[in-house]
Amino acid sequence: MDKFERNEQIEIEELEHDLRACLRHVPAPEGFTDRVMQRVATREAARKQKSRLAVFASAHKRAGWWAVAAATLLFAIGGDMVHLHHVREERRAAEAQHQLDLALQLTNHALDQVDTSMERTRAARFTEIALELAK
Amino acid sequence: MTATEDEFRDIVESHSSMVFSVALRLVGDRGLAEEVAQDVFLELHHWLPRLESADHVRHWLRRVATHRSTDALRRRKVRPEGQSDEWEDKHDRPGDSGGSDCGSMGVAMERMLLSLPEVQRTVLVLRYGEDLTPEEIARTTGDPVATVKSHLQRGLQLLRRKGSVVLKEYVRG
Repeated sequence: MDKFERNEQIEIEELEHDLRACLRHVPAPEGFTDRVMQRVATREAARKQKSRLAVFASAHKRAGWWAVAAATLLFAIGGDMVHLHHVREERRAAEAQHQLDLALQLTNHALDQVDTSMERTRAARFTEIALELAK
Repeated sequence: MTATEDEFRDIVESHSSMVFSVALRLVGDRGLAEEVAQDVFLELHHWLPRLESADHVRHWLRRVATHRSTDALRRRKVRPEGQSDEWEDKHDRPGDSGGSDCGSMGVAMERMLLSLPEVQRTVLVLRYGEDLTPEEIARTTGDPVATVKSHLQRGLQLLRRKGSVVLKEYVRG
């Protein structure tokens, strides 16, 4: 190693020595640990609060879903009941119609029989009149 | 690794000097360095269950302190040259400089360090402040070992050049 290189090496070693001296650890500011612990405590409290809110929101959401399900079920049941009522009313209407038809048929039949009877009576009378005229 | 509140307080006490010093040497501002250091310990509290040993904790703290300091610098877009006078004013107070052996050149050395590019300053702080080998520095920063060695060499050259200028001014003044 020549003189130049040796001088350069000495300079570097001195520089490294100065660097080590100047870069030694310095104490953290006074109260640093207390401030860190305070922030940790604050964050933990906020996390627990958030966790409680999340549980509440989840329960509320589940309750919401149950309410929707219950409403749907009630609606479905209600709808069925309306339909059932409608069907019953239709059936009653059909029955009433049938009975009306029957009544009309009977009436018609009765009227037919009256017509027939009157026709016979009329025919018999014409015969009597004809016989009297023939005498 | 789990820890009670008292145990975590002990961890903070044990490592506060190291974390604060790394942050201070990288950002060059005591207020910002404390902010960074507090954030690092807050993050440690979250990650502690995943760390396996005291050595793991120390390595984790050093690595995160380095990265958070770099992030803080980039957020503030600090120009090292522009900040050196302000930093010097603050650190003329007793106890503000790195150590009693810095001597009269100590403040000048600290100013020169802060004037270096961030990547070179980082490897010099880890090498001479934390006594890490180039391989350990590479694991901390995530850079290849060859890159770390290149930054170290370049950083020392720049300091020597700046140092000779400062020394001439010092002698003349």
